[in-house]
Amino acid sequence: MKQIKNVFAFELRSILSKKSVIITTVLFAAVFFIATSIPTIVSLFDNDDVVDETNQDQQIDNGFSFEGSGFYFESSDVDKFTFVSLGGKEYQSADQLREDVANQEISAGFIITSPTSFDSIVLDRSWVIYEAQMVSSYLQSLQIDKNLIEADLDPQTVSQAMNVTIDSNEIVLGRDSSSSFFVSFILMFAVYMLVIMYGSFVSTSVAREKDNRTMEILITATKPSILIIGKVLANAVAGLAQFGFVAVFGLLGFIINQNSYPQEIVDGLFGGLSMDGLLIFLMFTVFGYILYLFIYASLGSLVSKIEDVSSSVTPITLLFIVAYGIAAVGMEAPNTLLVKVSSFVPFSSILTMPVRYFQMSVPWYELAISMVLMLLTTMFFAYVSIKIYRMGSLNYGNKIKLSKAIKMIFSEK
Amino acid sequence: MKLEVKNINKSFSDKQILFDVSFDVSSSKAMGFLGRNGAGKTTTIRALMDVFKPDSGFFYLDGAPFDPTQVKVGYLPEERGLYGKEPIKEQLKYFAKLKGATNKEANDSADYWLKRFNLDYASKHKLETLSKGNQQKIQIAQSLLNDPDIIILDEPFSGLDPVNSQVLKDVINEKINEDKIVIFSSHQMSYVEEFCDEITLIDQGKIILSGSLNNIKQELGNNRIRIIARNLIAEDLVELLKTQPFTKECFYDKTSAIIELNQMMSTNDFLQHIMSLNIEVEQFMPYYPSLHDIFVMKVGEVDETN
Repeated sequence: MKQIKNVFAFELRSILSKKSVIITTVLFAAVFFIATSIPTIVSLFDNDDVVDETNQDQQIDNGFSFEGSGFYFESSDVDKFTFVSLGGKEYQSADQLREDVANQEISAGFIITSPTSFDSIVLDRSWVIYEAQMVSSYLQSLQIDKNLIEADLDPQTVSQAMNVTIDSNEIVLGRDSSSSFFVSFILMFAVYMLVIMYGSFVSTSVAREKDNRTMEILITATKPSILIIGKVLANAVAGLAQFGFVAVFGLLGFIINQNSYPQEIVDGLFGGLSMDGLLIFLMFTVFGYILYLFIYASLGSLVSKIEDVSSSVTPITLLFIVAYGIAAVGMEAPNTLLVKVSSFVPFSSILTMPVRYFQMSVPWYELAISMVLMLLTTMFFAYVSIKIYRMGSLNYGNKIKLSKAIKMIFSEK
Repeated sequence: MKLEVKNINKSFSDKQILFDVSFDVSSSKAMGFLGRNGAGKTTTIRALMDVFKPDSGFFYLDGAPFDPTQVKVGYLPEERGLYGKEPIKEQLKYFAKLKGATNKEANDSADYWLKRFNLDYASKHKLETLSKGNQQKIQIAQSLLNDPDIIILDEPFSGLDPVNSQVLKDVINEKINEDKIVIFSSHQMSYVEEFCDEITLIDQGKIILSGSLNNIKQELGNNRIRIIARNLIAEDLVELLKTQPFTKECFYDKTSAIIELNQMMSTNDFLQHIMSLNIEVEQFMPYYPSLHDIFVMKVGEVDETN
């Protein structure tokens, strides 16, 4: 235990004293703090109160304006005033309208061919032409009013009659996935980054010891199991400390600026958080993270040069990316068979079980089974990783394939 | 203390590297482990250090199975390596603690060896900022941390300039006088000859010579006699001696003639006889082959490129 502590302390000090780690941590903490303060910063520069009064009468309740759009009315049955009063420029010819669009004098042009049809002209097609949707909406509204009048009905009366609001009160007995979505997404992404970053750190760290030939001194000084356990735990703690530090600053920024956030965002971020959810998240994250770090460390020991690390860890990285993909599906559809099964597979349950738990009710026995499977797999892979590390650590030369390494372990060669 | 290596065999990928390797070494004696490149020196040392298990054979310390983690062993591997980006003293302390030292012992030991190798000024420097020679000294310091009882140095002099070689020689002599077991492999015969009371010569994985260096020299000297004449150069002296009936074999080196006598001729009779040939004898002594000669005699040319 004392030796594990020695390795742990040396490795942790080594990681946390790296300039790159310090700079990245401080930078990300600052970025998160600033990002969470954006609503306050925006409100400082918000000049909503100084609206140009001349434009006020051109805007309807929702603030929409046809400023920058041009209209040519082929049909005389259309009420031009609706469009012109909202800032639209009336053209006398369709050609002039097209020319102005082409010269970027106006951003969009509309040729109203009849009360229920129009052509829209733009220079470049973007995904959504908002103005076109609004033209369509206004034309539709005008036509409905016209139809109602023709049917001898007062449009205002009909409008009032149709304006019925139903009050509903939803009582959620299980979990509210709508309020858990954001928190699930943020935490899942944080775990993804944590495993990918620190997995890469630990495998590079092992490969470097082979590359600079420190390995032979290390394994003749103490047991390989002590070295790999100390190294994995140090990387695990360093990763959690780094992410925790950044998270604290993000949280601090949010707490300080919480009054600037709309209530629905506050609910979306924290509505789905509960102590038990946080506990489940932490348990699966910590053990799954350690499981991945052991595998990354053993894969690092199979290569002799640092530049070979990335190709060596590709299979496990791909596996984790697949797990991330399944967890992303789980955020939309937590009850599907794929997500359910993956929440019991230790390589994916690190992400999918917390996502399931945040999104829906998960029976306690499912949590327990998944956790036990995770623990057993972590112990098994820690054992295999120690063996691979012991064997790979002194095998210089060509990269050893993982399958060959496992075969060699079990044939005790 | 007595360290015994008994009948070690080792194969890699069905190719046998070591064949029944056996030798022993005792406290207060340095043992030179010699052999050409690829002869099996490093493989034997790695098996001794439990880097890998031998296929068969045993290592004993004072008659009990040897476990390098239970005894204080200082080891300088052939493949040098430490952490380039870590402060020097921090990593020396780390290695000392891995070998079982307390924090204070590790600190004191690191300080002592840094000062001894005149590198105390660099204790907070990163290893990669030092010259290659100084990095080599740090690696040697690593093997001497924690006052080991057994010191195994694989090619310790490679990369050291004459001044630093002298510092290391002093340290090795000191350790021999402190009753430690010192094993070191080297291609540099002069260093081995200087320190080692005993040598073990390995070739193609087989021990071909092992024991006291003096005894080996006597044995391989074949009762030959070295003669330097005042009035003849070595070449002419050899020509003259070859014509005599008591000469079995005669050759010369840079300074002297070396003669092996027929069995019936005693040394005294030989001396009287050559004086009667008007040879002015300046030196007359038993011939002991140098370690270089022994190496060449047993395994071929010496490769001192390392």
